[in-house]
Amino acid sequence: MKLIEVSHSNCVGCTLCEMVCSLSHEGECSATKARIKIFRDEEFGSNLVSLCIQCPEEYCIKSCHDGALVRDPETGAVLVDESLCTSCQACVTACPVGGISFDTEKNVVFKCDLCGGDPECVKFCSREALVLKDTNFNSPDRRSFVRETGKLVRKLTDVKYKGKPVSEVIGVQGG
Amino acid sequence: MYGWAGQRLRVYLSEGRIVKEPLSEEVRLNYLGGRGLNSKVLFDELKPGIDPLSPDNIFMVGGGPVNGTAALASARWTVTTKSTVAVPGGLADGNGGGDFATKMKFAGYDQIVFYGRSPEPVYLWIDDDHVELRDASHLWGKTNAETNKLLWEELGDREVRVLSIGPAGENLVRMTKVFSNITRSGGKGGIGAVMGSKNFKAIAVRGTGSVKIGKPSEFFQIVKDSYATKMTSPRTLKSMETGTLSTLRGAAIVGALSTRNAQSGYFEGWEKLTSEAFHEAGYQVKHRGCSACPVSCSHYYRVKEGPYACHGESNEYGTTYPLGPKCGIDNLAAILKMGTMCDQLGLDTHSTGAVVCFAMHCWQEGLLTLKDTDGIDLSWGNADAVIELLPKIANREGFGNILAEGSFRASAEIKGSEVCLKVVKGQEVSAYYPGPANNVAQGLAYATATRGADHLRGGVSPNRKLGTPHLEENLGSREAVVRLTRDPRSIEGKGAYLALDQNFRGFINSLELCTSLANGMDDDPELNLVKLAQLVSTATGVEMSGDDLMKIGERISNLEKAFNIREGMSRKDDILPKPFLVEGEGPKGPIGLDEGKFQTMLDEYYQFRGWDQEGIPTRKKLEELGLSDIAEQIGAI
Amino acid sequence: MSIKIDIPSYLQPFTDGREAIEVNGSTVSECLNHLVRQFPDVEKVLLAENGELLEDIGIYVNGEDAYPDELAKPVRDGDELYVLYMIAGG
Repeated sequence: MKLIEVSHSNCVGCTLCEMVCSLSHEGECSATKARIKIFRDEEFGSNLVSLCIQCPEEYCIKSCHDGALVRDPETGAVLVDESLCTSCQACVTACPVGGISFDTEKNVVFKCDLCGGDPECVKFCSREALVLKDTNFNSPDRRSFVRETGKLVRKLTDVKYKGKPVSEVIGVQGG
Repeated sequence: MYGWAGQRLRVYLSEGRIVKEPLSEEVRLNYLGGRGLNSKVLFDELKPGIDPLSPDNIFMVGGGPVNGTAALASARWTVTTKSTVAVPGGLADGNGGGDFATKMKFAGYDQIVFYGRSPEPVYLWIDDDHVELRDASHLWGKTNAETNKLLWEELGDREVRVLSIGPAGENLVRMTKVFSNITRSGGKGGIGAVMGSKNFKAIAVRGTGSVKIGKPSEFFQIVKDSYATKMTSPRTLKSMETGTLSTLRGAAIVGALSTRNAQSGYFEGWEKLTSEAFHEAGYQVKHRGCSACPVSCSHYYRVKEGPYACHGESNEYGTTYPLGPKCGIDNLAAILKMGTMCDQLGLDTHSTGAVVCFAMHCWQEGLLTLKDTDGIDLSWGNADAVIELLPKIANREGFGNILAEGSFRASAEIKGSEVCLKVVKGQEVSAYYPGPANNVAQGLAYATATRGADHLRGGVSPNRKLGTPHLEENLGSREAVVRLTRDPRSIEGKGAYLALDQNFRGFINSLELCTSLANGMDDDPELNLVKLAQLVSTATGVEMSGDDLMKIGERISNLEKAFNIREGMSRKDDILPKPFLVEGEGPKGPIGLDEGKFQTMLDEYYQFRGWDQEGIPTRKKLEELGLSDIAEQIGAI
Repeated sequence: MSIKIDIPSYLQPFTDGREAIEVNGSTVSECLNHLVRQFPDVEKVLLAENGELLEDIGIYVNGEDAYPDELAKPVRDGDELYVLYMIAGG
């Protein structure tokens, strides 16, 4: 399966990933419609990358009563079946890292689908903040990556919902 | 609508009234965006002869059709107004990066125009559709960093982006500019003072919308191709490490590094100030990028301890040369400290450095003593003196009050100081000393830039990678182009070259792409132009050719020239300070250009542009550009 | 016969004031190395530590811009090279 390994300290906040994500999925450019989100600290230059880490805990899948969230056996990405989504947004609340969002125009949720295994964001990251990795679903590698990345991505809640500066949460250089 | 938001705001500060209106197709297709939209409003709406610090002045910020998209380096905004230093009158504009322009576009606006003067300090809050003026009395007097933080707190969102002025702008200092993302800025001519004179502290914006793309797959393919081209270029890879500071070594070696108030182009301490020295000292904390830019040439710096401890974003060439070699200072930490102070106080490093070194030159000539300078020793190289002086300038205290007027006006207060003045159209000369590698070209560029002595309006450079198109067809042959860029004293062809480059940058600025990336789509300038046209066409859904874009750039250049003419400028203002018009030998080779040769070159430039002997666009040229209606106003023949 | 390198005025202090230097070589790289062997001082204003051209340098062979891969460009007897500094930025 594939994973996007995130390095907050390498991220320079250019948000080109957001632009190509929304462009390739929606045909328009928008940070709101991107499945990856960057939080920039304007004072100290650090940046936080927020992205679904396709976690083994599967909070979103477990919260969905309509079976609209399914794991792709090949890429390992959790995908949204828009025809089954009833817009309840239980998954949005359940995800601890903000990896799934609600599209108010289409009235369904959306999230990182790894672009079918060849993610666009990775291709446009010139600073190696996003690196594509190949791993097995149950490998210790993957679990430890998810745990480590998850810890940092969880700090997103401090940034997103408690208004803390990114630099305070992950350090001036990005941790 | 694709590309553009299709909407602009007009804010009447005197009445506290805000109007939204559509951006007409005619304006979009003829002026494109950003600088183009701004210059058009300036010409159409600003009566000649007004006091730039009065409520009659107009201030505006503009973005273009590809801001907020995946187009590489589509991050820039332009602010435009009537200059507070231009003599007798002229335009001033500034261009900055970060991601303010992106948010403004996502919020749904291509341009915001400000009129009048607010009775109390205010800021404009834009929250997508919702726009309102709010009290800024708690922000008045605050630095740019403090202003951002207070607004994040007040508005409860650190994703809000702010365009602000510092205390220097509030105090109407004529060497100020406006700043987004705390420290990102551009512009000379006291643009910050214009905002200050309107009691207008900042724009805060939250934008959550999207930019619709005309032909998404084709547009995406163009972005992919340009990314592949750009990221394999050795020059890009170097820029990613050094940013604009890499210019310093080149300038030093060719004798273009403006030193001690541009008395020379060579500074003996230059090796202490290179990007290598900056890295070795460990001042760089991490890289930083503006919107959609993979080059991410900016960086966050920090001097950890000592008398010059500071932190901020980006040590540019434009930070180092005016506070360093131009003042005879070779202490890198001190320069970073001074750069940080300028950013926080809201001062423009180019013109502030130029005014300080003008004072230092006066000191050198014995025209100023300790009594005049409030006890500050203005010997070359005295960084601590400059550090003491900067807040005095920002707050208009004592001697600082004289310097706050800019060197042209300050000169009237310092007997005999005309010999130290280095201004074109009232604006201090910036970035390069017109030295052996570029003296003629750079000189003509300074003399004719529509915003007064400027290195970014256009230039003549052996660097083909800067992308100036149509050179061979206009100059005769590839050989002719190469020959003219090799010979620093030759004048033939340089006027034509400069005009083409000014037109090129005219539309690049209006597209609000970063000019350091202007060459980014292809190494061949002709293919580069074609690809830029494809980028704009697929983004906006409107077919435009490279020549359409060049024409837009030409139209903007002519309209800005017309604005300056209407304000009273003429051929005599397209000139250089006298010291540059004397030929001699510098430490790096020939310097200066004989005035007779300069005038011949200027003739060629006017002729190529379709302007008359006085530099006024002819009726024929105006007709060609769809500007016939302005002919009467400028006395066009 | 050999290859001539034209030196701009601001680099002449590094080549004893001479504006045209004869060198031998079959590539631009070999020519520049020969130049450096004759005038060691010029190396630091032409080449980076890793032997690559400094990014501000442009090399023209017989009036044609040799970018990219300048160093690898082949040259023949009678060819003329010149060196330009290109500054940009603000």
